[in-house]
Amino acid sequence: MAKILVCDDDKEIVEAIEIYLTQEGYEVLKAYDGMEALKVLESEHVDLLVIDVMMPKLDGIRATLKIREENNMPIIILSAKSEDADKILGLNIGADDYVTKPFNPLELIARVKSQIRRYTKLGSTVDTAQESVYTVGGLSVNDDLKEVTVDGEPVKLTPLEYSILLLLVKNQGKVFSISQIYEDIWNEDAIGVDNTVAVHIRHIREKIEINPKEPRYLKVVWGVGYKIEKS
Amino acid sequence: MREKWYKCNITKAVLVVVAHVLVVVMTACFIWLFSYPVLRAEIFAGKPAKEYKDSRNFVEKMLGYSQQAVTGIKSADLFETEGKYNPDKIVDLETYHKKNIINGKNKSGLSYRLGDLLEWAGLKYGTAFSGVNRNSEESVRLDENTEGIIVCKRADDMFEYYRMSDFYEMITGGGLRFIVSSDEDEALDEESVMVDDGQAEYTFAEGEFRAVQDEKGAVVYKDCWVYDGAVQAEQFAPIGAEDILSIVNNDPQWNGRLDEAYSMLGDVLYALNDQYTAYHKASESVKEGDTNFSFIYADTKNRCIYTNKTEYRTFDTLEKSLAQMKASGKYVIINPKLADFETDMENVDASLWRDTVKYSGLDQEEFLFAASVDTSYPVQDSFYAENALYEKYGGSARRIAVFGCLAAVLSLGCILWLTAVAGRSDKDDELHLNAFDRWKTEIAAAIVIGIWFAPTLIGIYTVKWDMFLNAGDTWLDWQMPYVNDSVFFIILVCLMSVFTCAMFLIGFLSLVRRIKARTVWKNSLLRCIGVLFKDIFLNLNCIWKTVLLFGVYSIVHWGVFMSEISTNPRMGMVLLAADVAAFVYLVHKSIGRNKLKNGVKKISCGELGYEIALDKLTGDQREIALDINSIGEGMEAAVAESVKSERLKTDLITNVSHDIKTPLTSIINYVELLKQENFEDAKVRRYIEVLEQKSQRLKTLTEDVVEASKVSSGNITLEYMNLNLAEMIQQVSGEFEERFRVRNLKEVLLLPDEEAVIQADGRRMWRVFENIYNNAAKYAMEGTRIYAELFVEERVVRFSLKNISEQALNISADELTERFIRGDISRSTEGSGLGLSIAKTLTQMQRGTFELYLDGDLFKVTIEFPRVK
Repeated sequence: MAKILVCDDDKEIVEAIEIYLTQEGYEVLKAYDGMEALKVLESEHVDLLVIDVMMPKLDGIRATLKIREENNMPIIILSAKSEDADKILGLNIGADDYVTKPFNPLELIARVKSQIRRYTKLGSTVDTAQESVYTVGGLSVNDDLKEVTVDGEPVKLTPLEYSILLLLVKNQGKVFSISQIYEDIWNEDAIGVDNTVAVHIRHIREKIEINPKEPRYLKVVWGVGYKIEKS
Repeated sequence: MREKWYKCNITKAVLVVVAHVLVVVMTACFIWLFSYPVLRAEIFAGKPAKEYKDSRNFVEKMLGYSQQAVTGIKSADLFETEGKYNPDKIVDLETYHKKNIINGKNKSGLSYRLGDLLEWAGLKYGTAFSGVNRNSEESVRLDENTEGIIVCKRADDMFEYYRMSDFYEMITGGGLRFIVSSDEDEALDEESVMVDDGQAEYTFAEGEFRAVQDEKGAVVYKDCWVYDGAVQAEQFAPIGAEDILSIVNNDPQWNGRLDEAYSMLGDVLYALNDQYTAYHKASESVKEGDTNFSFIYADTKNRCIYTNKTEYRTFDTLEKSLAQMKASGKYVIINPKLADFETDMENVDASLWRDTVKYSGLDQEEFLFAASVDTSYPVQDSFYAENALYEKYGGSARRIAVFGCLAAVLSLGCILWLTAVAGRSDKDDELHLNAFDRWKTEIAAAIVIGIWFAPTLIGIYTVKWDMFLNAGDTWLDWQMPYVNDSVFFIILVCLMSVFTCAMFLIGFLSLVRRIKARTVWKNSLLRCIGVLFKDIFLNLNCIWKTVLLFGVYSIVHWGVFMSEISTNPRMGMVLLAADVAAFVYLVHKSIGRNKLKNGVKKISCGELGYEIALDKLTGDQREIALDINSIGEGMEAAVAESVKSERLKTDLITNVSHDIKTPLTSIINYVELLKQENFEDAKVRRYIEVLEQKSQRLKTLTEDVVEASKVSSGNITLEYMNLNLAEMIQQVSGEFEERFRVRNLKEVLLLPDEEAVIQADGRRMWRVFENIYNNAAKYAMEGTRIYAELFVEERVVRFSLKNISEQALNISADELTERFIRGDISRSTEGSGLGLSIAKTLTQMQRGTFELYLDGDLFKVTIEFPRVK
């Protein structure tokens, strides 16, 4: 089973996370500051690291930097610092994900799972690159089989939802306005305006995202349209 | 030897005395030299002669004597007959006047005896002849007192002259009668004829003068008037007549020329007098036995000799005579040709000598002139005396001059030494000023100069210097008297020089000390006054300053104008100077003003740290600049203060919220765990549910608080871009579709076909819409419709969201958007109460407007943005 190292100076939080993770079947190692985490990593092979930022002795950011020198397992930063700047900093220095406190523990678990899946699967799915398979991070759309998987888990989409997703995934990085999507999918000019497309997008998001409010793949460019970012 | 002996007071005193003495010596030497004219000539010309006979003065003297000799020869011709003075010679006035010859014949009809003329001249001018010393004023008076003359014109245009008295007699005696007006027989009364002092004045009573008739009634003269020409008091009678008048009357040659005759007479007298004086002087001065000077003038044409020594008189022995002359002493031999000029003296200007003889001599072409001075000085004449004097004083000329120069140099040395040690004492190295030095510069200068000036002026004006200064130019006069006289002057000059030296030292050394102490300007009276005025000016009010400056300026201009600038162009310079000064002042001030303006502008634009450069600003403007700078500094500090406090606030909120979030995380986590336990007890489940709800609310609350504080403190950076609101509303609507569905709310979307583009930050607009949609989702009455409308107008884009409120709204719109205020009842449910407030602030930050409208249960939110085309 995958080993996860949880590092936070708040003991209760570490314990709570431990319970959730153990329920999912992961082995949990604990640390309460950055130095400890480094020590643990010296002796143990860890598959994922959940690390807080505000810690004594060595804070999460510096610890991440240090760890990244030698390890490339997924790191999820868990912090009460919720500013954009903090998130950007965390992701830039090598973390794979950034979760703000207070968090929904189920969400955290889902992210952990997703990260581990990707980490382990990344090695194996590299050679089966096909033309009609579109991949963005953990999202994979197989146009031949009309299958959508997120972190290996299949997702069921309605045909409309699938078409929209396919469109976006085929043109990664491009922003499509609602009318553009409508025209493409329905092959009609957008007459009258309603929120049909937006609703569909919402549904897609709810299905493929761990936290639809903070989508990883299908992003909203407010006032302009929707896009899927390149990985 | 004491240290610094050269600075001590004794040395200084000694120096002062020595300087004075030297100055006296120097003055005495130089004045002495100047007082002896012979020496004067010698010194400047080079090497002074050892003996008198070698000096320049000697040469000049000889030249002078020679001139006299030649003149004497010339005039001898005039006055002598056969070598002797002949007073009976007849002088024809016209011949003499024209040709300067006394020919002894009465050619023109008007002539006098030579002796008479000379005596007459003597009476008039005072000559050696008459021994009488009259000046010309008296002679004029004599002339004027002569009786008047009447001129009568005869019918044949000949004139007849009468003496006034004779004429008067004839008139009164009836010999002659005036004819006045047409009445031929009317004779003048006696009363109408007035005689006044020998001059008769005739008044004519309302009549016209016609003629004069004699006793017989025949018109004798057709006109007569008072003679107003030149007259002479006739002291002597001309030859062959009683007086000039009779000559003029009788001699047709002279008729009508009375004026000419008299004036000629006057000229002749004057000229004759001069010539005779020269002749007399010459003959006396070069008389044999009276002088060491001997000369020979040989008229080679006529073979006659003029000389003052009998042994040279014969023409044949000319050569021998010459040789004798040469041997006797210094000689000069002049021939018409310069090449034949001979002399044994130095510094002789040959052409000067030759011309002197040539042009005042008798013959210009053939002559020989020799002059010599017997340098053994057998006769005690002026040569002898000069020689004696020179022997006494002359040789020492050089020495005296050198002595004087030496004294001058030494005294200068003393002064320099004194200058160097002025103010310094031997006790220390500091500069000492005495009491006098501390007086104001101008006052001290005035006093010194005044004290010096007063006696000097008195000395100059009371003593007759001209005697001393002018004398010495005449070479012929005896030098001895002025050498003796000059002693007095020398002493006087020495005294004055001592006095001057003393005053000079006082003043000069004081000045030197002041310069060393640099108090010349500092201690000056002018500076005091100037500083006083400057202080007054600087402390004047701004207004008064301007008034004063303008007053001065206009006074200068008007003053110059009134003084007639056209006649005095120098006033134009004053005017120009004043204008230039005004120009410079104005430009300077306006530059300062410009600087101030820029500074204020910069500060007002937000550059609070800007400092106006203070250099080159003066007076008021400098003060203003200082004040502005301090305002800027004050504002900068205030702004920094407020920014700091704002940041502290947000930091505080962030930190606090951070500290809240950590335990909150645990709460949420454990509540979740509790939920997973799946308690069967409904009560327990209910409790857990409550816990979950409230902890979620806490979560949103903390998030909102942070956001609200950030938003309100303006601590957000906005990224503007073009948003299509139509698109956006659809996106938002999609997001909330499910939530609306849960509460059975139907959204009615009314969007235009066209694009509604605005400039805003996408994420913040999402927040705004999220908040208001949230609001609707939370508080709208179940089962009702929510209207979302978008209007696109010419310049604005307007969005409104309308819904029916579930609970009664009993507060005003304003209060609703106040922070933390929610409709009372809805307070108990979820939400933090900040939503609308944040939405409003965010909208306004992006330059939109946010309005709430409440009417009964209708809740309407309107957002408006400027449209981007």
